[in-house]
Amino acid sequence: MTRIDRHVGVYRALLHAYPWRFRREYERDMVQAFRDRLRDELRAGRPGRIIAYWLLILTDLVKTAIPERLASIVHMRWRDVVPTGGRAGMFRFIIRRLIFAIPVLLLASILVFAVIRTTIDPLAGCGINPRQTAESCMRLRQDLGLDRPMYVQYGKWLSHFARGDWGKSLLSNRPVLPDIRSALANTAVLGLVAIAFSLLAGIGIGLYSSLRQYSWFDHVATGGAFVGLSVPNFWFALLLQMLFGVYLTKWLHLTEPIFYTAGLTKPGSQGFDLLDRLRHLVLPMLVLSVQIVAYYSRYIRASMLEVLHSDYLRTARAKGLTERRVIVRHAMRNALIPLTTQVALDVGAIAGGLIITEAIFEYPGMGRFFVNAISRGDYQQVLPWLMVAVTFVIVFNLVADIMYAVLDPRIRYT
Amino acid sequence: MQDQGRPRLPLSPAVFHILLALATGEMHGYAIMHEVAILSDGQVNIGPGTLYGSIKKMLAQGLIVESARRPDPKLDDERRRYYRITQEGRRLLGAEAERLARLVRVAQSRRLLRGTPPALGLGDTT
Repeated sequence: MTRIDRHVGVYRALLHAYPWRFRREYERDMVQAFRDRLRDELRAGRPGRIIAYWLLILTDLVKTAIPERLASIVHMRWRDVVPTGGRAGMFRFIIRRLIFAIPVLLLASILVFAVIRTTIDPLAGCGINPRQTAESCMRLRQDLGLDRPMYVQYGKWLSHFARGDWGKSLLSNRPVLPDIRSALANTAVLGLVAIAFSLLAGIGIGLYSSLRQYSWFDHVATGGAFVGLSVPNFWFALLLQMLFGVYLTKWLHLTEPIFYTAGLTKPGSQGFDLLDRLRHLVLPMLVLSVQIVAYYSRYIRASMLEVLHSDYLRTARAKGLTERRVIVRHAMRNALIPLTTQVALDVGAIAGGLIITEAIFEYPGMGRFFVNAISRGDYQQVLPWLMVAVTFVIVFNLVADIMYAVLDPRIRYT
Repeated sequence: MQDQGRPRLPLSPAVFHILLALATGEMHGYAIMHEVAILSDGQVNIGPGTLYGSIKKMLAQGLIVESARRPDPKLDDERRRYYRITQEGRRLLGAEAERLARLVRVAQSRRLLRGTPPALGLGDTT
């Protein structure tokens, strides 16, 4: 009996090769089948048969576990990703997702490090600088550690980073952490304002479109959304800059533009001036919002139309509720769920995503930080930037999943 | 339930053997494995992974259903799950068997089976 149990124990451990949903469904049956067959083989009494049996089992395992794993990835559903088992399950799920984030971060940093270090030499300019001798260039290279093998440089960077020492820029010698922190704050302001504005406009437009489907408003909104999605960011930004920076000031005989076309504040300004900040913020925010509004309004329109035709809405009307209550309490609540997820993902993407807009408006955020750093090959700046951006994406993906589970009770069933 | 699409001929060997075994009656997992080994003269040995991977697919495709029957707890573990072939499964099994039979007839007509005299057809030198 104990002999059988030993075999079964090994088999049970091997079953972890299968995805957990498959295991939950069939583990007991598979172990049972394994045990039954094993008992028969042992009864036959020839040691060779046990070995042959294990060979069969192992090939069977390899041949079937891989397709099951693949299928589980392809057919992944919310209820696979989001836990079902109450608070403890949720906690375990969060921890697991955060642990999975570590290899993703490592892999991303290795790739970026390899690409940057093999393509750009930050000291390339040193050789042609007449004030530098070959020796001083070499010494500089040694001081910065650039003469060491690639993996040593990477390992050194990683161990420092993990301990909170984000190092100094290779070129300007400025500490990286405060620079990234302020860039992140600026980007967060811009991105969050843009998303908040887009939410208001997008929900309004989408809602009205869905309630008056095929009206002239709906047609205009649909056309506008396609234009908004199709217009390139940089082009729209240039149009706005010309309009506000050049033409409007000329036509209206102003001494300074209504909305500024570059920077965070007026040059040389001291302290915090809200109005000045806002006047700098409006144009980049508009540029960002054009696409987001278009996207959100389509999103809301589609999910509202779906909800409006559902049975429970007919029930709500049949109960005699006012139309306003039907729309607000019954339809909108459900129609907004998918958008919530999308917004969470968008917020996560902000940290690394506003590169074009920030570059055009000279806005000192994460995007411009990245462009500057990578054009100089300053991996000491690029790598922490990347880690921050990826972390944001991962964390907000997780937030989106959790919000979905919280908002939609259907997600929790097994 | 995930949609695996409609099953198409030819069936995979594992699916065919499992359906063939279930055609005689309801069975639980190990009984299917055992029956498959017997009806193939021990030539086909399906492991638990292949078995339950196929069962999962066949349940989704509606070829088999989980039977409500539970064995007598005195005779057998009552937690065992039994499976039954459906009409659709039986139809597909028949179609596959006919397809195989047709192939066998072709092989026969070309004198490829053991026990049939060698052919005297074109390109045959004997």
